[in-house]
Amino acid sequence: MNIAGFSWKERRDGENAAGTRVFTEYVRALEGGGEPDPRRLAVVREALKGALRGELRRRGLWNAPPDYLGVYGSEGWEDALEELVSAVYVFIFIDRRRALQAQLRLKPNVDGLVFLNVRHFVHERQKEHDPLGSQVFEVLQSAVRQAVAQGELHVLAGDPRVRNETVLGFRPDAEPAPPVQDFRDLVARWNDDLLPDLVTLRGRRQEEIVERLRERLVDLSPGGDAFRFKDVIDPLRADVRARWGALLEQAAGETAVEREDGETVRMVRLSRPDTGFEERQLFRRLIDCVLTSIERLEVNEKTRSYLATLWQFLRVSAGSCPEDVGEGRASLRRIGELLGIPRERLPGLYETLGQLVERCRAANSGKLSVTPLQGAFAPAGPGGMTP
Amino acid sequence: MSRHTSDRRAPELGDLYVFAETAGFPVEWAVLDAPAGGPGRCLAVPADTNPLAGSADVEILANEPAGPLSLRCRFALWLDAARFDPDRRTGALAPDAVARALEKKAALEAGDPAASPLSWETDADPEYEDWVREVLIPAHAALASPAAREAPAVRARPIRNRWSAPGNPYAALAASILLMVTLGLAGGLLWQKGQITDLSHRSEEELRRERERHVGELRQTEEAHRREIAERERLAAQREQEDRNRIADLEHRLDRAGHTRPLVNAPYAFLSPKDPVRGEPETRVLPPGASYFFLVLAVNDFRPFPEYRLEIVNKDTGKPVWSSRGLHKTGISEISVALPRDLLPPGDYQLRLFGLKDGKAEPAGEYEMRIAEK
Repeated sequence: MNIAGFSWKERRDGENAAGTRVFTEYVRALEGGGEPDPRRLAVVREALKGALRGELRRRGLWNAPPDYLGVYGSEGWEDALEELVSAVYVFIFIDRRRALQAQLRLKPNVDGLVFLNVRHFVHERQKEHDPLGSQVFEVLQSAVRQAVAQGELHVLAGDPRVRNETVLGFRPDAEPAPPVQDFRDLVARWNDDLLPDLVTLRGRRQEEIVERLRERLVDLSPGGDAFRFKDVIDPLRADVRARWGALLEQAAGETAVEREDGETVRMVRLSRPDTGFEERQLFRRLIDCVLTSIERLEVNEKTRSYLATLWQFLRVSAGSCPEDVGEGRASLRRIGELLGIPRERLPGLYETLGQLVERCRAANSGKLSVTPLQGAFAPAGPGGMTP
Repeated sequence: MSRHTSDRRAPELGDLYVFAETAGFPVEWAVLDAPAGGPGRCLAVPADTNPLAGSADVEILANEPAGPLSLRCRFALWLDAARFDPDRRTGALAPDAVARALEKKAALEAGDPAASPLSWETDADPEYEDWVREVLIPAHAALASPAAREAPAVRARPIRNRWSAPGNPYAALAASILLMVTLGLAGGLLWQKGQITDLSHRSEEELRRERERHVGELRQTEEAHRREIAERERLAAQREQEDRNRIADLEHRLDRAGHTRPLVNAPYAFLSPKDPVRGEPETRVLPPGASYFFLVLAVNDFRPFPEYRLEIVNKDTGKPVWSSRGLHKTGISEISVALPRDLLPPGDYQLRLFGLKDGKAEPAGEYEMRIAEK
């Protein structure tokens, strides 16, 4: 089953590549209630596996580790697919069954909607578990789209929405089949200047970093008149991961503070949520609440900016690392260098964030994926952090 | 399905419907405002299951009635209640969800969506932009008829104390004064009337012509846009088709590659160049189950050739059975090939190796072998 070039518009009234309407028939069969037929369920699971495979290839994830979708401890995707199929089944045929059946009232075929939901599922999982990779992709994609809209770049081949295989040119008549180019050195120079904003500037401020990246796209032109999006995004992501990855592995989803000469530090564990829906919702609410609190905090703009950057760092850390990695060993100095925050400010910023987390946790009144460690967030005592 | 009733009641707050006009898009429509029990207009917003929720959207969580859904409040429409087909009611939201959506809509109208930081992040997500452009905008356009775009009807207030109302004591006096003024100005007015009438006719004519011109221009622009959209869609479809073909081809090749299995007990022969004084060629017995026969030819001609050509001739029939160029010598002066077993039925074969250089073929070795079957 090939959905790599999937367009739901085309599929909405058609049949899938196998010439059958596996999903439609299944949704129809579920209308009667009761347990699904095991044979039919097996066929649906196989079809879902094919759809996942196609979507993973489309997103360029097929050669990445399954950790990027939150499947840990798997040898490869074939192994990880089993776990993902179960999750995507719940996402589509349990959580969204009502909506599928609603659409079935009007159309004879909802297979296209199932493929669409597979796409949404993978997108959501990737954002959650590969926040670094998806954020870098998002910013570069936006920058390229803006450059195309302003006539600085032209889509020569591939998906005009700008995907991995899209070929872009600096002239509309450039050769649409450029050779593979090595932009590793170039994007590393970009990152010297763009990090940490490339990862930490989000939401309304994301536009700033998109604009800065767009201005640099012209640096690609000496390599030729055209390039593949994939040839830029892959090394760009790899470079960001290389710079952040080493630190994140040590940080293991925590503030990752190493005790240095004579200082006692407080830590907050911001661990990845369980796969449960409610847990994920609480986690999102916590992230949201702390971001909102930072916006409203009565501090100067510099401090606010440091707090936002540090919080985004913690958020990426929580999404990027498996939980069973040892506790933090990265030093305040390294974190300070990475985030562009003076080292001496970090203890105070951690303390403030800790207080915000506590308040938000109390406000949400739920069990959050946040565990204070070593008396964290208690009023600063002797040896504790002070802002 | 959470709720599907066969009663033919009018739409109520929170009801979810599907519409034939938007059947091509994965959306339902949620009623946020409805007239109490009679004809009128209902306020509806598109609802879909894409989990991306931006600053203008309201999330209905999976544990809420009809959830999970995202209500797209920026795309609200007023629709005649008669357009909501009771047979196409698909569910209902909780009152709290309706209240949240109305609050969001009001905030949007006030210019302050009061959104969360995470929803601003979603606004900046290109996937979300695609969803808005490819699904929500066209779905909204498909359902919005000219009548639907109108604001809800507002009941006109009764006009009090009209000057002409019966019983008004000042009415007669006012009428008299007005009559005198009118008569006094009649002469001037008569003269002006001709001018005004002329102007009016001319203005009407000019306006009519201008309107027609604008209508014509509008039609031309619409037609040009239609053509442009059709062309873009055609190009996009063509590109997608090319992509699909390429991907299908790659997947096919990947599948085939995946079917390759290790060969065990593969028959092979190591051949040296033919010795002119040697008698019968060397015999190789091929097992019946063999699929490939591996040949390694020792090359004693030490002249350097960038590539070689090998020809195999059946000595019994004199016909060539296989020939190929593009062979290269290994570091230990050997040429290797794997030939399908079916190519070599039992018999005697002559193998001639040529070195290729500068467009010329130089003999580089001759070999013989006999194939037998078990």
